[in-house]
Amino acid sequence: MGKTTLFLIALLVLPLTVFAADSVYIQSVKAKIMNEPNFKSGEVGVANKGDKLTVTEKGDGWIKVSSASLSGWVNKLCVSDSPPMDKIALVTAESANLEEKSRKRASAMTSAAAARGLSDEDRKRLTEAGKADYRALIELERVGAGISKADVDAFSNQDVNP
Amino acid sequence: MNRTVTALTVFALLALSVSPTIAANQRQRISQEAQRLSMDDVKSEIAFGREVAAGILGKYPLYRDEQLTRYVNLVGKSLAQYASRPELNFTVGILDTSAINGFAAPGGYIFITKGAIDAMDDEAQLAGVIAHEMMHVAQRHIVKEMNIHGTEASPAAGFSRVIGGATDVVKVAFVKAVDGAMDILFERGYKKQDEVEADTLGTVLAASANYDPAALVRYFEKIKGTEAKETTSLQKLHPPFDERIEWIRRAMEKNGLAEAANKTGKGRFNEAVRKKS
Amino acid sequence: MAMAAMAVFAGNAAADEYHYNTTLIGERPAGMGGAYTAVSDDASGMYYNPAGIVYSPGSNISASVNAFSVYTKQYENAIGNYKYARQSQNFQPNFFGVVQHTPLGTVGFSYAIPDSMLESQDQSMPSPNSALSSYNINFNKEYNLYNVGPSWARDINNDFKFGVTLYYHYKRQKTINNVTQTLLSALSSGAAGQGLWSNVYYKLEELGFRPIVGLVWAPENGKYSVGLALSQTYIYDASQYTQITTNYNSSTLAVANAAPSITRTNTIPQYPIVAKMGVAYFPSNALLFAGDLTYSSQVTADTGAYGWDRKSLINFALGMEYFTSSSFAVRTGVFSDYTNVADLKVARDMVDMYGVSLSGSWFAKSTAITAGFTYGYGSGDSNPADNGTKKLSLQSTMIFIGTSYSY
Repeated sequence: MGKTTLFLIALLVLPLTVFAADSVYIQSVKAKIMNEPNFKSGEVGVANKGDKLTVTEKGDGWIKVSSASLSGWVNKLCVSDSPPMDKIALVTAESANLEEKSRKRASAMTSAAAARGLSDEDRKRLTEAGKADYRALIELERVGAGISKADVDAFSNQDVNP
Repeated sequence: MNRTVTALTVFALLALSVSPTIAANQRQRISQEAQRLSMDDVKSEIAFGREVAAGILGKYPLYRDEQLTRYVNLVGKSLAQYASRPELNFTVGILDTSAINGFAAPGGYIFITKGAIDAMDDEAQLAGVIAHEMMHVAQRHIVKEMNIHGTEASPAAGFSRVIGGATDVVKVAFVKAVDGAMDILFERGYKKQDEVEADTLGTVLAASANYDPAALVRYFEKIKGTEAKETTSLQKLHPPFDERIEWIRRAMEKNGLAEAANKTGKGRFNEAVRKKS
Repeated sequence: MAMAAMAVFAGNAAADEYHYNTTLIGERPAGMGGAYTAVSDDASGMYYNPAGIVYSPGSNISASVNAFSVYTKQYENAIGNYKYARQSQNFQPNFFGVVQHTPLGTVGFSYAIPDSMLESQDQSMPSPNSALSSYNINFNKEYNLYNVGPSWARDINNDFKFGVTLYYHYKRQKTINNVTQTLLSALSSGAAGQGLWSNVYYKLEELGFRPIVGLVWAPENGKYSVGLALSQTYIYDASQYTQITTNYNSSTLAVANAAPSITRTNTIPQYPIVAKMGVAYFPSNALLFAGDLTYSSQVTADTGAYGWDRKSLINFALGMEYFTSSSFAVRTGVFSDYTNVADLKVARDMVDMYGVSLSGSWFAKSTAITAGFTYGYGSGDSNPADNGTKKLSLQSTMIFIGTSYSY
């Protein structure tokens, strides 16, 4: 009984000893690293977008991280498992080369088609039925596209009364 | 017997020493959280979100004021820098209606009504509302509910389908999914835990961008007492204001934001909406 | 006498009517020792506790398992000093399930093969009677129990879920046992070289329903879950057919060409009430502990086709699942498989079995592949030929590959 029990228990415990070494990447343009898992404790430093930090402890909404130069708590919102992606531009219908995709499975093509959105006929039908407004959307996107990163930086850094 | 007890105790202690990550949903396993988003996933999300955005603009016309629209986009894009989705282009639009409400379509399309802006006092309140909507997008609430994702080209998936005999149904039924998203936005509202997440994480987001985290609470206190007609749709789709104020306050306490003296941007806000300050 | 023993070894009862928990069903539960009543949150849940399927992630989930099973019975000193072993090997898909969330609740469909044997044995055993040559035994048994049917579950409120599964129960068994011997020296039955032969052919079929009613209580912000599932099998039609053909008289050994003796019955068997109670604890999103107790009620012999009283029993199961990363999980468990035999009479085995399970799962974005095994072992008593208790050991091994897919 003794030996068998211990063996079975060891079998159950064994998986717990396997731990993966965790790293996170900063996603926000800047991330404050704090002394404790809250915003009111002192600031230890600032990490930048793309920085890779090692996870030493996990808390509730905060993660304790360390790098060569700093160690402290960062809010979970600012980080992710994988490095930050570049801004994604949508594939437009015209640019998809179906022949090139012919070696992929049918599902890949269908998803590529889906990724282009509804067909033009569907969109026209919806606009006429008053259920969607693509012209307004395009207008809105134009305004948004007219704002550069420099504009945003100037806006964030502008000194406004508290 | 003694050895067994010792072994069991050791086992129990080891098991309990695994530090917990508190999931809002206790059953969700880490394999389901799918933190690793592929380019395909994000492209599908954006394409889907565009259709939903067009649908929102079908319900309420776009408020055409380029200056004001530029202003709300600047607030939105400065918040986006701290929103954990650097691959998305966030765009903020104003809807021409006196109703007080805000909507978010996946992929980064955020809408605030003119009525909501008229009810605001300062930029921090605007940032608070945009941050709430931004977190619905960042946390992919609608995308998860509608199960929108990119293609899956792994060998594991192919093998799995052969053994399991399941048919290939990765194709997204777009129209059905868009209707589902519109239903969430205009009829039934998000799941309660999604609203809690948007409110609490939105508050942290606003604070990260140096906005007064209590602004959203001040805004709710103010519109709580407004004409019932303007807030009907908002109240139908969201949990009661008092509950929301309560969990926002708790989130501020927990994150050490209760005494934060961040900016409110009243002057710049008033200038942008051309009100008398 | 010995020939009679051989006929009895064949046994009319299926090899595992003495146990209720030999085969673990489902890709995830099988790795966790079957401790699934409080978890039950995917397609496998329809078999354990249908209420749990309300929690299944994604809008459509399907899961299937292919299992290779080997079941061995080894009798010590069965005849004289001879060991008698029987083995069953089987490879089949033993579970498939699909679940989908709809506005009216979560619906699903599944089939399971909770019990299945495919035995084929050709064996020669020496006879204790010097006047007879060794026994030549050719034994074939096919036995399958199918459960197939729909499930439906929904919220009662934030903390309670309720669900039902309605399985159609179909059991079929066919056994053919052929035994031959040769007279070595002249006896009253005949000259040397005279062959003695007996054949037993047995067929059983059962049609019925097995409803499962389940409840899960999992407080919204708590880290634990409690489950309860009740089920019972109701048979509406059953037939048993036995055909014995021999060329000799079994008591005198005199050769006699008699017509085959055929027995046809339609005895409707009773099944026990089964109550599964489970608790699960989710300390983190990577770790899960579960424990189950399954109570099977007593069923007396005079209520059906089973020739012995099945005692009430409680089986236990303990399991855990641990994710070492977001794409790999290991599961392990222990479980009991107690005998339902209360006392040894003719053709009874009384062996309590204990099992362990272990499996690993690899996760891609919406698919998972699992590979694992369960191993059960027991050693006890049997009284196969009414000439004393013999030691009997049982081993049951199942190697399985399972997949699940959400879309």
